[in-house]
This record gives sequence, structure tokens and C-alpha cells, in this order.
Amino acid sequence: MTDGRQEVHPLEENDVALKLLHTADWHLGRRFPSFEKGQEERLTRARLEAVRRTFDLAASSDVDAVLCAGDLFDEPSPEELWWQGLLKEFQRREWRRPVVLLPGNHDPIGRGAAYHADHPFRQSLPAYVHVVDRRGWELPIGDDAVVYASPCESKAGQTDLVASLPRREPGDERFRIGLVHGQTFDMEDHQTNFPIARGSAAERGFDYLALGDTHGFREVEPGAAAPTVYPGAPEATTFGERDAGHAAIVFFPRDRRRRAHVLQERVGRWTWREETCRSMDELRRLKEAPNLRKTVLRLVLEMELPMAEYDEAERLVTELGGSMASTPLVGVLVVERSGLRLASDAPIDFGSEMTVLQAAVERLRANALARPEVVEKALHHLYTLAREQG
Amino acid sequence: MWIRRLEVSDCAGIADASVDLESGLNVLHGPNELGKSTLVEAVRAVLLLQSGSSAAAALDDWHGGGQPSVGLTFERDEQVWRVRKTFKRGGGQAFLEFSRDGRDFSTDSRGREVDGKLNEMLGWGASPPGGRGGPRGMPSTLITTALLGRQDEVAAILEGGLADDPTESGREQLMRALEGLSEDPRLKKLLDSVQEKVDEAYTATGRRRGGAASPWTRLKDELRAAETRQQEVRVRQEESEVVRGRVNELRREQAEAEAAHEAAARALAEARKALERHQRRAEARDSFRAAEEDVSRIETQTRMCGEKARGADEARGQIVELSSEHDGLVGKVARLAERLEAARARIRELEAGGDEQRRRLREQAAENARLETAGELETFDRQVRDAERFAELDRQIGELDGRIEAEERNRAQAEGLIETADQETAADRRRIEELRLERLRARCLALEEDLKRRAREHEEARNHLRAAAAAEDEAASLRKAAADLRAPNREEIERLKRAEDDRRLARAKLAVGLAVDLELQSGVEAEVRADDQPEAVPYGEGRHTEIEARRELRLDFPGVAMVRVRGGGRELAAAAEAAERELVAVRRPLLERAGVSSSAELEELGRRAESMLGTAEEEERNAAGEKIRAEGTEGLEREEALARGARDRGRRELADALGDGVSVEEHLQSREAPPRPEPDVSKQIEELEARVDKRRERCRELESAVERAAGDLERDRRERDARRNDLSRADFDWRGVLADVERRRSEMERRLEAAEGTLRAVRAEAASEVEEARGRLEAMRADHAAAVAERDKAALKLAAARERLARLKGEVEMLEGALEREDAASAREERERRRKVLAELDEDLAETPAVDAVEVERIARQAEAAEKEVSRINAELLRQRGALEQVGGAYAEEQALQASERFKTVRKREEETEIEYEAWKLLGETLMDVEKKETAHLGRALVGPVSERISDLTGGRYGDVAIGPELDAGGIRFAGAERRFSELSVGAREQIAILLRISIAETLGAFVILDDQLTQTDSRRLAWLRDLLGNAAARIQIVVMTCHPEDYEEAPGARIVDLTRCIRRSAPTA
Repeated sequence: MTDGRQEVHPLEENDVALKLLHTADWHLGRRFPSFEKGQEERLTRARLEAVRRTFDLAASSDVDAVLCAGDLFDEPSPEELWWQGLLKEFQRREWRRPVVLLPGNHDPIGRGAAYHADHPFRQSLPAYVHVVDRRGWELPIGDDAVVYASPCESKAGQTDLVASLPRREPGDERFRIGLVHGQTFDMEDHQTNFPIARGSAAERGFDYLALGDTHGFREVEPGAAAPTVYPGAPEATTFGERDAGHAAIVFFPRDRRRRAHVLQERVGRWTWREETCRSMDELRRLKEAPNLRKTVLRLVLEMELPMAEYDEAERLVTELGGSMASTPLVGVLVVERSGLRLASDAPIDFGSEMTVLQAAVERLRANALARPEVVEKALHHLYTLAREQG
Repeated sequence: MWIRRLEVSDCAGIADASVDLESGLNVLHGPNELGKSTLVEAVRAVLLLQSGSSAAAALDDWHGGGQPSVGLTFERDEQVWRVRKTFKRGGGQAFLEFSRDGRDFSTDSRGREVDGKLNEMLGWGASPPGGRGGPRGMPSTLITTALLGRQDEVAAILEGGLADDPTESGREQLMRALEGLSEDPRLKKLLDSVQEKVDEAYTATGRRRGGAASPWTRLKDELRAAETRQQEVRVRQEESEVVRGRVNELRREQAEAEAAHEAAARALAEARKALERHQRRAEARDSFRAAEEDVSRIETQTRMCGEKARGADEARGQIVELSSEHDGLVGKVARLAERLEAARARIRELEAGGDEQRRRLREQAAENARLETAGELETFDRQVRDAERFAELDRQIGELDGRIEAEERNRAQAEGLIETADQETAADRRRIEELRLERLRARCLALEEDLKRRAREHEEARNHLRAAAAAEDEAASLRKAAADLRAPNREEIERLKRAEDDRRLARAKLAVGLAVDLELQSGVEAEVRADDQPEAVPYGEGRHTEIEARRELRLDFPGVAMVRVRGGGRELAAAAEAAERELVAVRRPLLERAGVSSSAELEELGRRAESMLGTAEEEERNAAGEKIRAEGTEGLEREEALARGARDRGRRELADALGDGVSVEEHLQSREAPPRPEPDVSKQIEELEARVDKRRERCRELESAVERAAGDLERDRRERDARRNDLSRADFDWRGVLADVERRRSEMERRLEAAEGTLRAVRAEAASEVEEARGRLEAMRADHAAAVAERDKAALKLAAARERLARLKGEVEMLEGALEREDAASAREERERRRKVLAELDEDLAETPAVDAVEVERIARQAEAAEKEVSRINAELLRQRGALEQVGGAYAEEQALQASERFKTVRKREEETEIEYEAWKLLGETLMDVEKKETAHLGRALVGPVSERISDLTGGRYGDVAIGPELDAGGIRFAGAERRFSELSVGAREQIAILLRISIAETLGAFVILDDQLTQTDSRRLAWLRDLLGNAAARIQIVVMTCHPEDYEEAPGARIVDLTRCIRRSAPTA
């Protein structure tokens, strides 16, 4: 029991009166400018793939409705390929279960926005897809449940959108689900966007408050009678986003004394990870790590190595990241190599009697005018070329 | 380079000869004295000697024929050249021709130019032609020795070196060639790889490469885009920060203002509550007094009603008694009347006698007197009764007068109350009107203020728009002005500077420092220019002049020669010319476009244009900022129009309220004190109206009471008037009657008794019986009369009692009716309730501070000011939040973060690319430097191939040959020690020399002519060398002159040419 209401186990299907899938923050069309072009394309494409997996999960879980809590597009007027892609996802499914699209602060509703009534995206949506286009929007789900929602109408705002939803009327015994996009925290001098007061779910008489904005899965006030949940982004958008890559399946028990149960389901493909290697062993072990192909890895190299190992490190990094001739071991790799240094005085073996090369090494090492990192790189180029040419 | 054809005429013993050669091994054979060496000498001469050189004397026709003439067709770098010279001391002719197809030739140069051009083309280390002090005779250098070695100087190549060459051209050519030759293929491949990488990023001059394929271009574009994006987003973020800061500030101000407003509102509420309590207490006191008066009035009425009821009850008792008494008296009168009639009948029986008539007359007179007195008494009694009735009427009139007076007093009191209430109501209504006027004025002023504020905001927005338009106009004007300048942009300026720097650098490289010691012989003129500046040259034999220049000296000897001495060599000169051309190519279009004549002017124009563009950008940023600040202008305009409409409506309402005579403006400006807030005034109006309504209700009640009282009064008056009317009908002095009733009645009763005594005396004279009967009759009559009087009196009393009862019943009914309407109990309860309320209020008020309306109004003004401040801050907060919504807030931060990350990523990539390509460049430079050092030792490059061949030739007997840096062959390792060549056999020297010559020819890619060599070589080594020549001929042209063609017949690819078929010997003239 928690707070007077008991959890319901999701497997007790007979006890479940209503089942919803809650997702948010797809950020379709988001760019990843800090990555290389090819990597950026993969990460950008991955967002639509995650949406597809989310809908597959909704179908396999046989939910009664899908609630999408805002920031579905990364900007109000996404490029056509993104809204067309999403449209195809909708159009290829012959659903009757309602899907609710809520405009968030990244894709607020307004003239020119994809959600606007004049936009071809909105006009082409199948009948089962609903767009929240006004405050206090309402959609009954069967006879026993109702969704109330209010959209973001601008990129920034100080309005508590939950406050715009109606309170439970006396005698209203339906499951009431609130759906808004905003932030539940409020720090001094922090630029809170569309703030949501704590305890809003209970105050408004909701059985579940479905939120969007935060990219990690989070239940606000765990154990509260009415769960307030951020499902997070189906794919992370940057390093350090904890618990991203999920959707929430929400089970509403027939026994109204029990609170809704929220199941965190993984839908994301990519794991964002940061690793610092301070020795060759660590780097070698990293190469053997599982699921690297589904990983966005930021690799920081912090070590000083003799040329042979330096070269090996470079080759390992190339293997991890792939090349024109080899498939990458890591899905998306970003390498921070400023900490990778070449031991300054270790001998360099070219494996043959090339006095010119040895003389070049000496000359390079003695060059006081060139930057050390340039010298190191030149030495490594020399070593690599000599090695490649036998 | 290889020789295609050699044509000779009139040379030594050859009349003419023509030999076609091929690019491989050409074995030209002929017997001794045929002229083979002459052909070699002819080749040497045509390539190395000027046509007028005395050294060509060796070619003079032995038989005194024509001038020696040589033509040589050769191919070099896939171009065909033909040089033709006719030698004559001090004269001769020379032509250099060029052909694209090897058949048709066109003249390239002639005369002296031919030698200069050939010298430059060959680069064999020979001195350029002409000039004094130069070497005389056939030029001899290491390369001429290697390629055209004389028959009798087999080992000459082993004895000299590059150090003996008069110029460096041979060394340079060899170095260039040996650089390639000396390279290890791996090293070369490595260098190629490095250079390939370097070429990706840098031009040949070391500048960063441009163009679409350049990594710098991509990075530059990306960096520029990222920077632009970052700047755009940063501007938005900064705007967002400013707005957010303002929002936070306003939030704090809002919290403070709300706290202040809350405190003021609390104080106001408390003050109003206190004031209300005081007002309620006053009202409660008035209410209590009114209730008390009501109770008092009802009690009076109740008391009166009781009294009247008791009077009615008494009257009813009296009526019963009087009715009983009256009924008894009526019976008595009837009985006495019967007895009286019986007595009269008895007397009439007794009076039937004579004297009886007189006595009867006297008796009649006595009887008449008695009857007259009795009638008089009866009249008097009637008068008394009437008087009593009149007295009763008078009493009733008096009572009614009293009641009317009381009622009039009550009505007057009620009317007074109504009048007072009306006056108070009128005062309240006046106050209400004043308050309404004040409210309209407050509303007008507030609307006016609101309109002003909105107009100000609108005007500010319009000002921002105007400022934005002005800034945009200014920016456009600046951009147009900048464009009109047709100034070069930054990249063009940088390119121009680079070109100028390159030219300056190239020129600086040419400035190696030159000095010429000039001595002009008499008669010779010269114009000298040092670095393009004319130099004065003193004339006269023996007068030396040292002329110095940094990069170029030009000595023009008119009609003789022009000498141009340049510093830095051809490559640097070419680089300088290229730099000059580049500068001209870059600068000319810029100068033409801008219409100026110098780079400085261009730079100045560029600076001006850039400054203008910078200012334009700033103006555009300002315009963007102003536009953002002007956002919502249309909304503000609508709001202003709405506010103006509201203000006008307010003014019209105020004008209607003011009526004619006072203008709205005068009214608004007439009072200095600011009006109170509209809600307060409205509340006060409502309170006053409620009070007026309450008072009106009370007045209606009072008026109703007055109306009822007026009805009562009218009825009472009518009743009184009726009584008075009745009383006015009194035709006698009833008061005098009542005042003297006893005396007069006594006097009349005495006279009646006297009359009755007389009668009785008269009748006494009659018969006793009659008398007696008469006496009894008379007694009976008296009894009957008394009984009748008593009966009438009782009847009067009964009527009076009944009348009183009726009046009392009417009064009781009226009072009861009034009391029924009053409900004394409720009135008392109400009085008690109000007393309690009053007591409670008194108790409450004990702790409530005294406050009056002025104080409340002062606190209200404070609360109103605080509320206005909150409203102002809220409006500003709303506006700023709206602005924040426009600029994006957190969204803008996110965008800024992304743009920053993008910029950092591109910067990082640029840095990595820089490191990458700088490393390649550094590696390339280092390798080249190291490699150059290695190859500068030219001998080291040749040691390998030569030593290898010697070792192969000698079966390993000889080790490495020692060849110095100047290709000076010092010796060879043999039999465990270094041996000088002079220590070797002639054959060995000859073989080593040939191997070295072939290696040098291979190095240069040039032909080599072996004139009757290998004469001291054994057959085994000859065979080896033959194979070597065959193999080497795959790469270079080898021309062997021999009288033993069989020695070479087996050489791979050898072309054997019988010179006897080619040469026609000259014959002595007859």
C-alpha cells in the first residue's frame, strides 16, 4: 500500500480497467551539430525509428490509448520529411485506439506549426489521431475514462497548464487523466518553462498526470495516490541524460482504492555512454564491451604511450569508429584525444634501415618551433606510413 | 635528351655526313680515319661552341673547302629541336629551330641567342656564351666529359669533378636528377604519400589551398555557418536573458507589491470593519430607539384599549342594571296608571252634587296650578335630561378632542419623522449623486490614465518601429554606400595582401646582393641600371666602377650587348614573376572596379566599406532589437483604441451627470484631491442606497401609520363634529340648567307641593270620601308621576349607557384593530433583540479602535495605490512574459547550447585538421630537408648503382667506389683497401669510367657518346658491358663509335650503322 492506495500488478489483466501508453519528447528532426555529419544523420533518423518501436509496443500491449506529451517535433515547423515520416507511421496502422498529440514548448501550436489546422500534416492525420489544440481539451476514452489536456502555445511560458484543466466534479467516477507539457520544479532564478505545481494531480482530481519535457523517465512524488510521470525521450538527445529511452505503460485497476501502476518499458535503441581510458588495457577491454553497436560513445583518452602503443591506440580507435574500409564497432563514436600523448623520448622502431626516417625523427623531436601536438602527430604519421609500406 | 640526326659538312676530313640515330643503342662503325671522332667533335661543337668561336678551328675543312657546318636534331622533353651552326672565326651563323612534328621546323632563335638558349637548355655547367674573361676554347665540364668524352681521354671522368665546372648549372641539374635517383623507392613512396596529404591542404607555395575540395574550405564554411548561427542564437539568448532578468525582477517586485497590497487591503478591511461596526452600532441604537418607541406606542394603545374595554364592560353592567330598573319602573308606572284611573273613576262617582261645581272650579284652578307646576317640573326635568345629554355630548366632544389632539400629535410626530427621513434621504441622495459624480470622475480619470498609459506604450512601440525603420534605412543606406564604394571585401583585401606579401617575399629572395666591377673601354658606352635605378658610369680606360644592386643589374652596351644580371637564379626569378603576375591579376580588377590607383587606396576603401558594413550590421541589429521591442504594436493600437472608446464613454457619462454649465474638463481639473477608487465609491453608494431604501421602507410604514391615524382622526373628527352638531342644537342654557338644577327643582317641587296643598284643601272641602278619594287619587298621581319621572330618568340613563357602550365598543374595536396590526410581543422581542445587538456591539466596540470615514478613505487610497502598483507590475510582467514567449526562454538557451556545441565541434575539428595537416606539412618539410641533406652528397647517390655494377662486372673483386660530394671520384675499395684510380689498370679505369659515365647519363636522362672506348677490355667484361649497354639503352640513348662493330652486334637492341654509308670524305682540292 502506498498513500492509502495499493499498486496493481500489470499482469493481473482481469483487474485492469484501462491501459494507456504514455510517451513524450520525440524531438523529430532534432539536429546533433556536435557530431560528424554521418553520425548526426544516424542519430536524427533514430528518433523516428524509436517512435515506430513505441507504437509497436502500444499495439503489442493492446493499450486503450496512446498519449504523446509534447515536443514530438524539435521545432514548430519541421521539415516535410519529418512530418511525412510520422504521418506514414500513423497511416500504416489501422487503429481504432485514440492517439493524442500534445504540442510542447518545442513544437507549440500556432500559425505555420505542423499542428495548425491549415498544415497538411494536421489535415492528413487519420481519424484516430487527435491533436490537442485548445486549453481544457477533452477526450472521453470509453465510458469510464476521460483525458483532459492543454497545449503549449509558445516556446516559453509561465502558465501552469494543469491549472487550466477542470477539477473533478462531484459524482464524476471516471478515470481522469491529465496531459500537459511543462516542468515540475521551480528553483530560484531558474528559468522554469511552463511550471507545474506539485500536487497538481491530486488537487485537480486526476488519477494520472501524464507529463512531457524532461528527457529521463521520472515519477514525480513517487508513491503519491495519483502518479505524475515523465516517460522521458524515447532516445536520448545528449550525454548525461539518465533513464532516457523509455515509454510508460499505465494500468488503471478496477478497484478504485488502488492507484495506477506505471511500467517503464524500453523503446530506445541507443545507449549514450562516456568512457575515459587511462591505459591500453582499458582501451583494449573497451573494444570487447557488449552492445557497442547500439552505443553512442564519447571516448576520452588520457595516457602517454610509446609509439607502438600510441599507434595501437590509434588503430583501436579507428576500429571502434570504423573507416572507409571497416565497419565501426561503436554505433556512434566521439573521441577526445587531447589527453593522448606520445612518450617524448621513447625510441621509434621503423623495422628497416631507413636512416632518413631516423634522421627525420631526430629532426622532428628537435624542432622547438613546432607545436608538440603537431610534432607528435607528424611522428605518428611517419610511423604509420613506414609501417604501412613495410 | 637524345639525338635524332646529325648532319655535317666541311668539317675536317668530312665533306658531308648525315646520320640518323634512334633512341636506344646506336653502334656507329667505320674504319679508322673515317671521321667518327670528327662527328663527335661536331656534336660537341654544335652544342657547346659559338659559331664565331676560334675553338671551332678544329673543324675547319682540311682541304680548305667551305665553312664547317653542323646540324643536330635532338629531342628533349618530347620536343624536337634542331641547331644549325656554320663556324667562322669572328662570325658564323647559328640557328635554333623548333618543330612539333619533327619535320617542319621554325626558327626559335639565331645568332648569339642560340648559344644562350642552348646553354640554358642543356644546363651542363658550361659558361654562358659571350663576355670577356670567360673560358676560351671548347667548354669542358663534368657532364660534357661524361656525355661527350673524347676518345683519348678515357678516364677523364675519374679525374675531375663538379668543382671544376665554371657554373653551377651542371650541379643543379645533377642534384635535381639525383634527388630522384638517390631516393629509396620506399622513401619516395612515403614522400609521395606525405606530399599527397600536404597537397590536400596546401598549395605549392605553402598557402592553404582554396576551392571546393580543400578541407579548409569546408571547415571555413562550416565554421562561418556555425559562427553565424551562434551569433544569431546568442543575440536571441541575450535578449531572452534580459527579458528573463526583467521577469525575475518583476516577480520580486510583484511579491513585494502584493505583500504591500495585501497589508493595505487588510488594513482597509479592518478599518472598514471598524467603521461598519460603528455604523452598525449607531444604526442599532436608532433601531433600538425606534423599537422602544414602537413598544411604548403599542403599550399605550393596549392600555387605552383595556381601559376602554373596562369602560364598555362597566357600561354593559350599567345597561343591565338600568334595563332592569327601567323595566321595573315601566311596570310600576303601568300599575300606578291603572290605580290612578280607578281612583279617577271613584271621584267621578263621588262628584255628582251642587256646591260641588265651585269646589270643582277651585279644585280645577288648584289642579291647573298643580298641573302647571307639574308641567313646569316635567319640562324642567326634560331640560335637565337634555342638559345632561348635552353635557355627555360635551364630555364626549372633549374626549374626542383629546384623542384627536393625541392623534394629531402622533401624526405630526410621524410626519416629523417622515420629514426628517425625507430630509436625510434627500441628503443621502445628494451624497449619492456626489458619489456617482465622484465615481464617474474617478472612472474618467482612471480611463484617461489608462488611455495615456496605452498611448504611451503604443507611442513607445511606434517609436521602436520608427527607430527600427530608421536603423534599417540607415543600414540600407550604409550598405548601398559601401557597395557604391566598390571596395574590395575582406577576403579580397587579404588575397591582395597575400599577393603583395608573396611578391615582396619573392623580390626579397631575389635580393641576394650583386656587385659588378665595370671598366669601360674608351669608345664604349654603357647604360647601367641597378635595381631599375640608373647608375652613373664614369668613362675612360682604367677607370673602374663598382656597381652594386640588391637584386638586378642591367648593363646595356648600345649596339653591342645588353647584360642583365639577376639575383636568386631562374626559379626565384620565375617565382618573383609569378608573384608579380599574381599581384597584378589580383590587384588590377580591384583597382578598376574601385576606380583607384593604389593598394593603399584599396585598403582604405576596404576599411571604409567594412566600417560602413559594420555600422550597417549594428544598425540592423538595433533594428531587430527595436522590432522585438515593438512587437505587439497592433495589439497596443487596438488596446489604445479600446481605451479611447472607454474614456470617451466615461466622459459622456460624466457630461450627462454634470449637465449643462460645467464642462467635463473643468470638472476633472476642478479638484485637486484625487478621487477615491471606483469600487470604494461604488460600495459607499450601495450602502447609502441601502440606507435610503431602508429609510424609505420605514417612511412607508410611518406614512401608512399616518394614513391610518388620519383615518382615525377623520372618524374621530366626524364623530366629534356630529357631537358638536348635536350639542349645537341645544336651545337653552343647559349648563345653567345643570348648574341650578337642584334649586330650581326644589323650588318647583315646593310650588307643586303648594299647588297640591291648595288642591288638597279645596278637595278637603268636598266630601270626605271624594276628598279622600281625590287625596288618594292625587297621591296616586304623584306616585305615578314620580314613577314616570323615575322611569324616564332610567330610560335616559339606559340610553346614555348604551350610547357610551357603543362608543366604547367602537373605540375598543379600533384599538384592538390597531393592536392586531402591531404585534406587541414581536415588537418587544424586536426591542429585546435590538437591545442585545446593541449590547453586543457595545461590547465589540470596546476593543475596536475608533475610526472615521476620513481615516478609512485614507487607508483606502493607500490600498488603491498598492493595488495599482500590483496591476502595473502584473501588466509589465505579462508583457515581459509575452516577450519571453516570443524570444524563446529556455528554448533559446537550448538553441544557444546547440549552436555553441556546433561551433566548438567545428573549431575542434578545425584544430584537429590543422594539427593533422600541419603535421603532414612538418613531416614533409622535415623529410625533404633530411633527404636533401642526404642527396646533397651527389656522390652518395651514385655510389650504390656504380659500385653495384662494378662489383657485378668484377665478380665482387671491387668494393664500393669512392665518389665525393662533387662527384669527384677518389678511388675504389679493392683488395681490402682504398685504392686510387691511378693505381688501377687502364682497362679497369676505362671500365669504371664508362660505368660512371653511363650512370651520370642515366641520371640526367641524356645521350652518351662512347667514342671508341673499351679498347682495353677483355672479352668477358666486354660481353658484360655490352649487355649493360643494351639494358641501359632502354632508358637512354647510347651512341658507340667503333671500328669493331662485331663487339656490339650481340648487344640487346643494338642498331648497327655503317658510317661509311653516311660519311663522304672530302678530297684535297686540285
